[in-house]
Amino acid sequence: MSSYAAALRELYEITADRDLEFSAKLRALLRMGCRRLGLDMGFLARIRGGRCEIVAADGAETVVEEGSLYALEGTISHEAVQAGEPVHFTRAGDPRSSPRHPSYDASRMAAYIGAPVVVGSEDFGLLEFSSSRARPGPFTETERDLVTLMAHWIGGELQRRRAEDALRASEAKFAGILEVAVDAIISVDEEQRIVLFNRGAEGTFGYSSEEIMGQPLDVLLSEGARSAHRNHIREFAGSPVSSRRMAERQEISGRRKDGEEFPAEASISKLDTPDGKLFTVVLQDITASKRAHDELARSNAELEQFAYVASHDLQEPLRMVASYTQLLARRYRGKLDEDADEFIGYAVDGVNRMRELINDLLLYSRVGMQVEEFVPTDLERVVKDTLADLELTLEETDGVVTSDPLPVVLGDEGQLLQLFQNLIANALKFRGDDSPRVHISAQRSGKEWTVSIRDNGIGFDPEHLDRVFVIFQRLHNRREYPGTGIGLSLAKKVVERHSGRIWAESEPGRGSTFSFTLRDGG
Amino acid sequence: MDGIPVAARPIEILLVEDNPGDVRLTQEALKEGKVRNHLNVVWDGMAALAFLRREGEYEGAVRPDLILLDLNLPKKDGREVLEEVKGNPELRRLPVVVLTTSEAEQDILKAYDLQVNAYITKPVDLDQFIGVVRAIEDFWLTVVKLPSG
Repeated sequence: MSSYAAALRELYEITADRDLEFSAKLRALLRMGCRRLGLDMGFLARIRGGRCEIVAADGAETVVEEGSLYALEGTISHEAVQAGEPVHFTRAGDPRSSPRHPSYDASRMAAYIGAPVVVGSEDFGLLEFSSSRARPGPFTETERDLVTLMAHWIGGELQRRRAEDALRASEAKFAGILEVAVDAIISVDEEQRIVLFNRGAEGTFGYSSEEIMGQPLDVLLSEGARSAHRNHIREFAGSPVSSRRMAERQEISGRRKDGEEFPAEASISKLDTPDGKLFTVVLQDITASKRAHDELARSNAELEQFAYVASHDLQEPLRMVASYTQLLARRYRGKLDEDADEFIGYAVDGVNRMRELINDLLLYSRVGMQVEEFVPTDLERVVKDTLADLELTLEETDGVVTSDPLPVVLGDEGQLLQLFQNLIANALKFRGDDSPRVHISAQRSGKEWTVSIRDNGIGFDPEHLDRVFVIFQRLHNRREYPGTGIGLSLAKKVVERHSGRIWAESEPGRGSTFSFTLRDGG
Repeated sequence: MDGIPVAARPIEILLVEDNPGDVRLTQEALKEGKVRNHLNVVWDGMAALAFLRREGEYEGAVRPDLILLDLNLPKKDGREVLEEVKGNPELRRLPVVVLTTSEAEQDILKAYDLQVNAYITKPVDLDQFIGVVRAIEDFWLTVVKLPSG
């Protein structure tokens, strides 16, 4: 057997030995290299940032210890790194050899061979063998190949270990997330048997991971939800949009160990593994948030009721105050003194303003009090009626309202009338120097229409976007633009009662556009 | 035929109202009217029925030409008064005007079901209130021809 073949066999035996750790294999390789190359020392050096760190060292004469660090500058290693291919010499210290190797003075190394170690695409460092004694003959091609081969194996092995570390870290991270997640995370296999049940799931369902493993998912679902969920998973499994993963959140009804059923929100992901499909459900108990939501809805309804009753009952005393201040004004203006006239004047103004506010509040709270019966409603007709109501204002302001064809939507005609009336009246009221031009457009997306009302009025600063929809909030003083500030909040309320959204876009001097969504009614 | 001649005697009006402020306002409004009138005031529904039936302290009460009826009253509310007046053969021809702050639709419908002659919401504005009282006066006492007796 040639010495090369023998060397390869030895290399193979070392690297393939299952009982050896990587570091032991590394040292065995270094020792083997020293022996076969007839040199005293072998190193694996990591080179970065201008320094050289000895990762592993072995051989007959180890003058450098593992872990030691030295500057790269002026050493043979520096040269080897820059060369990017094996560098070698055998008689650097020999006064007869010429030229004398420049690093000999620094390291007293007479013989050296070093090959770059590359990990992935990164230059890791060098595999080096050296001796302070000169070597009898030059390195043969076989010897140089052997060093290159070792360097390749080390590079490959280091890369594999890095990938393993990364995987382990990611697994540990994943396991950590699984453990600390408050959400229940449950994986089931294709037979819908539970194969993973995290701590969050234990807390949510009351089962321990040990007792639930291998059980069908049905155990965790309320009876009513079982078949629906099974179908859902089956559909999901065979779904043609079978990307590797996909998730959609939906509400389901879960069942705890003690039999209690609870509302939950769950999303599911699908993963194709070598062992078949794996479904992972991330589930959140929404009992508390549902309760909070119901509570909020009730408290809102109560507030509305309160606002209605308050504004309604306030009308009676208000009528008294208003009537008698007016009676005072009627009978005694000019008959008392100037002060009295002034006082009466303020009282009358205040009462008038209060009356407006209470009427508006009543109007506002009524939108919430009405029982909704949303029916297909033609917006063309609503706008026509609105414009008829606004005829006088349109004449006074020389205003023109144009409109695209408008759809039939699901809604309450009375409320929609209020909505358009308020938005169009607003557009006419906040007009600029030019006569008002208002345009209504509608755009469909799916089952929803977005209706936009654009004007050429004074507009407003976008920083006030949040305020314009708040009840009784005004951007102008009452002398400039009278009104209570109810219009847009009423519009918002109507839209929200119709499960829509409303928003505004505006810039001072460049008009405003108010848009809202309504459900298609065609 | 023109309306009944009413110049001979003041028009008798029964006002059923528990709010003194409203009573006074009605008086003031009627004062500015052009028809001579006499306002009889009772404060609750029981008293209104006693007045109309000439019972107890109202033994000598006049038969009013017009009833102005508030809906929300103590003891017996306006709806009950209306029901009894319209169900009583002797009283049912009396014109009744419901004058109230309630704008609730069911109140309005109920009142018309009970054959109220007019349903009027009290306006917050004084001028409007005076206008309403005068319109009632004009309409029921000079324009509408009522069965006599």
